[in-house]
Amino acid sequence: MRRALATGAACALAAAVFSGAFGGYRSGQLSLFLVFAALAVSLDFVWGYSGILSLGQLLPFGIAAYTSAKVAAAAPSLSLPMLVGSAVAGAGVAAALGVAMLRRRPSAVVVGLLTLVLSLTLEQLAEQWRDVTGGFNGLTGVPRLGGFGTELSDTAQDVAISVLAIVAITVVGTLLTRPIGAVLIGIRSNERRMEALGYKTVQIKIWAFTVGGALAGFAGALYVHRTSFVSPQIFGFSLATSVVLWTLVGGRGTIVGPVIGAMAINFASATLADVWLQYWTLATGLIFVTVVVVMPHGLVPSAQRLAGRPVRRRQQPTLRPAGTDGDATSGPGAGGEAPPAAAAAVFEAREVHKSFGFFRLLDGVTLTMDDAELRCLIGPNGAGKSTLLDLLSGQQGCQSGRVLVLGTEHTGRQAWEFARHGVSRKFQSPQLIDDLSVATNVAIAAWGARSSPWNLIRRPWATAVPRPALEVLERTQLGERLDMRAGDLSHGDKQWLEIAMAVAGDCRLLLLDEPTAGMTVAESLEAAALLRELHRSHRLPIVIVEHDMAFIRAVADRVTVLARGEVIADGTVAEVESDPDVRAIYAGVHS
Amino acid sequence: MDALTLELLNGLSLFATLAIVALGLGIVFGLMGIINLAHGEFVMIGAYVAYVTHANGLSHWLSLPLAAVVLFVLGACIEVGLIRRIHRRPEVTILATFGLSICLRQAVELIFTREFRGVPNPVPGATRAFGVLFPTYRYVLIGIAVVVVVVTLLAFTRSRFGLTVRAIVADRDLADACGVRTGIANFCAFGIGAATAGVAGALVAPLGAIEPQAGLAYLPGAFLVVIVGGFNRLWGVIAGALVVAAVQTGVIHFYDAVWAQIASLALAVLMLQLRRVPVEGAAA
Amino acid sequence: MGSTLKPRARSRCRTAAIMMALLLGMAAACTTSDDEPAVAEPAATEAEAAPAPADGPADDDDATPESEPTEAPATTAAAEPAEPSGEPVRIGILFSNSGPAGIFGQPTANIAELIEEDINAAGGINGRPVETFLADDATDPAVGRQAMEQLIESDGVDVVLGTHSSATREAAKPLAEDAGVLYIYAALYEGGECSPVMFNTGEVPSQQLAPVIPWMMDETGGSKWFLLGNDYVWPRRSFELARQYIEAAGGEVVGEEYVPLGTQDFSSVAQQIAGSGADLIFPALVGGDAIAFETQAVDFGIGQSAIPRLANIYEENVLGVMGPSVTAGMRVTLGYFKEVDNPANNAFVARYFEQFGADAPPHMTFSSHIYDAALLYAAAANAAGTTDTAAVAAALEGLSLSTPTGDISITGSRHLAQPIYVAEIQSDGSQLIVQSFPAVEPDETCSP
Repeated sequence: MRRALATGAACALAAAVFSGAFGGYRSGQLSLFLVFAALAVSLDFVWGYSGILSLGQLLPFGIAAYTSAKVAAAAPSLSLPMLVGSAVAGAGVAAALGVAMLRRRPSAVVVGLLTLVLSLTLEQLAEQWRDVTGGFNGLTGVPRLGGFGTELSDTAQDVAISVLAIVAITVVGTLLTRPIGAVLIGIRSNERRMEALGYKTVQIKIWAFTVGGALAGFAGALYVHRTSFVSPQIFGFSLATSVVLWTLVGGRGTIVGPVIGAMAINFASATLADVWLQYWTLATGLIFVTVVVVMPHGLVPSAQRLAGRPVRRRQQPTLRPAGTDGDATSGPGAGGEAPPAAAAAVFEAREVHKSFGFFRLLDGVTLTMDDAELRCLIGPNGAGKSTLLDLLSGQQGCQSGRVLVLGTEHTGRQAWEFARHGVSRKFQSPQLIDDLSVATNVAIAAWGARSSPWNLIRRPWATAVPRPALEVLERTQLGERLDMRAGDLSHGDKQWLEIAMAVAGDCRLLLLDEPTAGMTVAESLEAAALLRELHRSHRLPIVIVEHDMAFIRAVADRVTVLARGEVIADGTVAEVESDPDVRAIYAGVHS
Repeated sequence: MDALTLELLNGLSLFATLAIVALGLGIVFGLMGIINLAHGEFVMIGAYVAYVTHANGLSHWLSLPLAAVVLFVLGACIEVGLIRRIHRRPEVTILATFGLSICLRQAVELIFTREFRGVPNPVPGATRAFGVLFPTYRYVLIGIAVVVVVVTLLAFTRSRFGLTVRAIVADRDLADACGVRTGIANFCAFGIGAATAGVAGALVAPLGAIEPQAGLAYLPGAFLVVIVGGFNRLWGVIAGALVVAAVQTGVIHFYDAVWAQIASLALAVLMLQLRRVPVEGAAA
Repeated sequence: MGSTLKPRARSRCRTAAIMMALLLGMAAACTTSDDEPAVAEPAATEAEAAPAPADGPADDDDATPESEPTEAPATTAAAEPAEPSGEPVRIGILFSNSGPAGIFGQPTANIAELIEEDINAAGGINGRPVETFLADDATDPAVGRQAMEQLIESDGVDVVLGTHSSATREAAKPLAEDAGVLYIYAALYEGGECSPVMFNTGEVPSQQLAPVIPWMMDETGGSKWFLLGNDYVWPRRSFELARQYIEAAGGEVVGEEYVPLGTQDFSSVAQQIAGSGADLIFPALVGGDAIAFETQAVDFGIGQSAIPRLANIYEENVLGVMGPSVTAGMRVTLGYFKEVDNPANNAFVARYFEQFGADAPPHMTFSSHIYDAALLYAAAANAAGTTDTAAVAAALEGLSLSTPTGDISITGSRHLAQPIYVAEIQSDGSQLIVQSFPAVEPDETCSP
């Protein structure tokens, strides 16, 4: 954070000195390109960090530009305060758009198309609405920045705009050095995992879209003062795609990347377009394709990698045992043992149905767990085991029936609501935030249960982690590799990390889907021991879907057998193994 | 009454144009999950094939199969050289095909310059039918477009090749595992998508100007059709083209062309809100 | 498996490295060109310090017969002017070389060469040679403004000649006003522009239409007009005026319709026209829209042979694509055609094609107005003996000149009184001037 602020201050100083030294044309260019850089960073915040491919960053940008032009024309002295106003306007536009669009969890493709189409629609409307927008020729003669009765001189305005753009970029860049930055990356790379940790991902995405909109709106106001006019082409295809190009080439998911991308490409086109007009445009297209295919991360991250520097030198959270101070998350190990109230069942699925087309995954399953036991779910492939876990953790809804978890009705609720109620889930194939370190993955899991965006900006990186999670890390030597990128771990280690994450939050019911897949026999027995210990020492109810009978014998209190979407047996390992129905099914399946 | 007949015929010819222009986009999206932003450029290159055919003194009708062949080859090369590396990442394909569209546009500009080109109408004049005079070439266009669209869709839904392709749509990994050669299917799907765009380009060439930027004009309409018709449903192209043609013709009739354009864009926004696009559904 | 992956990964790294190298090279290229103005500027100030000797011959030139500056330099080769020397007068040309209007770019770029040659051959401006600087607006006002900035602040031009959209003019004008740089907007436009640094030498609708509309009605016997235009300011203004002239001449407007730029399907509009009872059509459509409308109109039975056209922008490329079967008989009203028949123009056009090739994009009204604007500027600057904006502007007012276009003069409203020609398309596709109206005054008022 301090580094980000220092970089910003240095850049602002350099820009001011440059403008003073060269003046005129060069300082004008610099300020314009910095405004474009701010626009690119706003796209980067939304797309590179939060994973929302918005081809419509021009909506807040353009609307704020028109608004500022109108305000400045009516009351020139309001133009400085209006910079803040335009950031608010941009945020408002983006928030409205985000709420309307993102709540339905559209795919990246839909978001891209929708934002682009909206932008083009606005271009048409701006051309038609002559009275307000000035039609095709737009609004001209926008005065320079001013306030309190003065109007800045040309060079002073260039300096002011350059510095303000850098300040805005720095503010957003600094935000991203906070824990929220890691959470946004988490949502971008694995939204399902984040939701299973208790993050209201949709809300956070709308928030990110809004912040991006505020930056775009601010940039829009700077732009309109810099160029002193605005026309409908501000919403047009050409600028919309240029912004994507700057961000893409510079490097998504970094702040420096889009800034360099915007500056370099604009500089190159200003210089080269006159000389090699057609070839320059062709080169733009080729750069676009080449970057997408050859170095999809963009220039800056690729250069860092070539130079052998770690791609992400992000701030790493320090993990400490919970309960040492007030910051603790109340995990099962956080001192005050929080078993479910004796009266209520741990979970209860009543007559749940789930089918895809003609295929019935679950056909009237009723299953309850009354005590904090360690239960295994077994059954042949397609028996509905994973689907049942999905219902118990809110990953899927059921078509009929009810789901109660830890004494509360949860039918029809979202995954994050289950998670915040204490349900933790490990998926069949490990779902980690591959781009972040082991420590950050665990920390994100520990923050999850009650984190709003503002909370994630203010909270410290130091994180209290419930003891069970630390135990898992220690016993699996992951504790010595906290800085390692999660995506680079071996398959077995990924399984362990995910279990650690599952118990790092406010975990009161643990659902594990094939935790030993990919482990050796020795490892899986060790896993059994570890899980039993978690269960015993923290009275943690655990449900495990598993195929490996050796593991099940070692770990289970009780076994439930599912087949063809129905419960066919329930009892201790020995009881189930001797059940004739179960034998028939397994014999039938395996022969 | 005559006015109504004429508007119906207008709507029909707009429908046919939209359907054949959008067909390739729908195929490529439906079968491969790829948003091809260079589709408009394929149409534009098809029109240039018609121009080159004409410039060499050959019959316009020859340009239709010629455009199909040229565009199939171009599409297949692009599939092998570019799409194959990225086709499972929808977001990346949007960006890559966008870059590709710039490249194709500029390449055409370097070859043919920016000047407008044109192809004379092979069957000038109008035909009297249903009590009104309506341009002969438009009847021809409607006929050819409908035949091309229906035959292509039948090929994808009724033939053995179509079965293979639909197996891939249903579950690519399973199809892969069952020994269906998904690579070949992609190659063909992209090639055929491009080929139909080429035919569309050659077919509409006599109705307007041929220029390197022309592709940009076709893209929004084609997208609108695919969005309205529904992703992943090949026959949706026909339904989509019908709806869009009806809306456009209706708004132009009662209001004007400018508002027809705004109305179509608004329709796209609405449909994107209503439709679920199951692109990443399987992956997420 | 691992062994097959490794070489590929390496080759990808190498590709990335090559890309990097290329981009770094580009960055280096940028920095060098970035330094250029900085290097050039001291040189420029040195040169400017020394124009005194260069001014000498210029004063001599001014002393020679007074009629001289009003003659077009191209036609005064006999005068044997002195070789211009010293710091060049910088003439900026802001034009559209890419984007939709980019199609008019090449003739303008060609003309820029002839401007340098001709003015320098005639002794330059005040004894100084002229140098042209081209800047492309990409048919986008935001880019146009940047281009204007480059011309004024980086290239340091003394005057800007513009041929581009009104949107670009509106965006770029304040820069010229702030910098006090003379800005001659030479494109055909909707009229109404008035600024202390601006002169507007393109045709305005009042010039193109006032004499031609009554003539057209006489010629064809038609009186019921249908006005069809793209939806932006120039067609709207043109139709507003056309309506007045039509009604004054006893005709009527039976339909007025606007379509968005980039319209491809004109079937509904065509039927509307067919049903309107119009016997004259005034299409103010540009580029591809014009081609689409006219080729489609023929099949709907409203081609030129059925309903005569008076067009105010159809130029050679567009007409050529439509083909003679569509265009034969159409009338086009503009301030210049390369077919204008006078000795100066015939020589000029022959030279144009000789120099740029027989298949060069033809010289046309946009490039011609840029050429005329340059000659007007040179004549005014020579008359004023300086390139100071106020002095040149004063000299420009009322200035008359004879150019390949014909006799032109700047009016008190800072527009151009100029000949208006009507060309009729022949059955072989060629254009024949069938009527000319000399020295048509624009209906403009301006006193900045």
